[in-house]
Amino acid sequence: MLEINNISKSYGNLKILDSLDLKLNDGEIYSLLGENGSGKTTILNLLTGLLIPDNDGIIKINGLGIKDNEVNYKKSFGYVQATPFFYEELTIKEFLLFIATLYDIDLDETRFENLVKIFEIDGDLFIGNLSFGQKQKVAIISALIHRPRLLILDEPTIGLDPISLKFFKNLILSLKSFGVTIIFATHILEIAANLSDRIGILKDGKIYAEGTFEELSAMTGSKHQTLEEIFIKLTGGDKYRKLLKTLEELEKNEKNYYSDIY
Amino acid sequence: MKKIITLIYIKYLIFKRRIFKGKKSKFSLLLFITLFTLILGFTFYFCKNIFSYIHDFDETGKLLNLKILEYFTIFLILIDLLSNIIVALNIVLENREFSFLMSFPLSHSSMCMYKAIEICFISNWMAYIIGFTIFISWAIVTGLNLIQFIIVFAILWAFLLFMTSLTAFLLVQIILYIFPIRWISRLIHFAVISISVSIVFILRALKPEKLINPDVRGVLKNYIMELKLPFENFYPTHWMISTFSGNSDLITTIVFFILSILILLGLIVFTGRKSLYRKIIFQKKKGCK
Repeated sequence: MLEINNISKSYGNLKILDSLDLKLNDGEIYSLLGENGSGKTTILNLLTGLLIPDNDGIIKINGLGIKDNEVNYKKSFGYVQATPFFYEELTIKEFLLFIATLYDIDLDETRFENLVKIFEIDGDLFIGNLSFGQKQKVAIISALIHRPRLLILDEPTIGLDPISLKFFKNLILSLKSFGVTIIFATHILEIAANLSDRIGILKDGKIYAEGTFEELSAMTGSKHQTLEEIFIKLTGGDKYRKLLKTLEELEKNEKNYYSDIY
Repeated sequence: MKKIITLIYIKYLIFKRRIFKGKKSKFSLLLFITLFTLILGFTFYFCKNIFSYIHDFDETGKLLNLKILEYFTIFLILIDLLSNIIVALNIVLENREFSFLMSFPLSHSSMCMYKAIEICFISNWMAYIIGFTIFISWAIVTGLNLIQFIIVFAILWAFLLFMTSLTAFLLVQIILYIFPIRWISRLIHFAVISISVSIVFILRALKPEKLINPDVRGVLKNYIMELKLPFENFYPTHWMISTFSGNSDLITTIVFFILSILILLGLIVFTGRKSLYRKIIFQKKKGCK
């Protein structure tokens, strides 16, 4: 479905991605984890064509590269930005009709009604009057409106309330059952652990560790861990190991590491 | 084309709703229309009186009116160019819509054309109306066929302002391609100073000291007839004024059209550079890091 080969990207002297390779199979859910600035959003921006790689690396979706046919390439995926842009003065229906025009499709009344019914929103509402969770739903509808086989999500769960979060989790799993491939960047490890078929941990511009939750757990050499513990063990290095050790010692001595703040 | 029309329609819808949304907006709109009409009315009245007064000085007055009109047009176009540049920079750099649309299957040229039209509308509507008012007052004083004048002027003025927008868009693309984003504010300061200095130079080029002559009445006519700015024949404004005064020559027209074609070619070459917008996004990210 998705193939990334030997992609590098720098911002000035700061190397963000260094010869990165990534491959996604049909119907797979893949989550990208990493520290702030590790390059998660950069990968997604490269996928969507918002950025171009520094080198001649290859990005292909179903064998089609952005240089082959930009318009068709962009029709092959749906993208939800971390903070989606909206025309706040439009109603949901107008916005979705507009998005459908961009994808060269006709959004008939039945499909529109089905979509707003599934996502439990009123199509006649103005986007400016929607809550954050409702806006996120509109962003997801607009990414799914052309029935893409690949869905790209950048921090899709930021700011969602528990009900919206539950809705989102169910949606992702349902889309998987339809064979949709999903790649998303997140900081919420619980989401990554519960939803993903595979998890990729970014460090030093590369996929540092990759695999199922169990495989990642096995890499750390210990069992019964949370993804947070796995993530810190794999990526933290000496700095985090030292912090963890200090915290453990203080806990043993019944002292609070943060006591000096107050 | 369908996508561009849809985008423009969406912008029109948003604009309409912003204006008519709520009582406060309606009151603001009413206030704005009242003030704007008053300003236009005053401009018309003032210009008509001035033109009429100067017009009464036999042939010299008519010549002077034409020169005043020409230099006013140059001034307006320069100011409009600066306004277009600022709006274009704002739209390209600050507008989140740009990166939003880039993730959709919209061809790069369609998006640039849409943005050029947007810049043109936002920047030029006021210059268009003000220019119209002043030129109409001149046409009334000169006794031209008003309907014919309005039709010709509407087309020429729109074309001239559209070319100004395209030039601004082209300049912005060149600026962003060459200079880092953090230099932009300095460049704008520089442009403002340059335009101010050019206006001083334009006034200086008119050599008003010639008027300090005891036999001023004889000198005045010669002075006005000889009034020429450097490379005046290459100015699009000169071409427009020559058309109205019936002094249009073929060379000026050809020069103007060659200039227009060069601007359009420049735009096509630059808007074809997809890397430009990615460079902007990249630079913005770099600034954040």
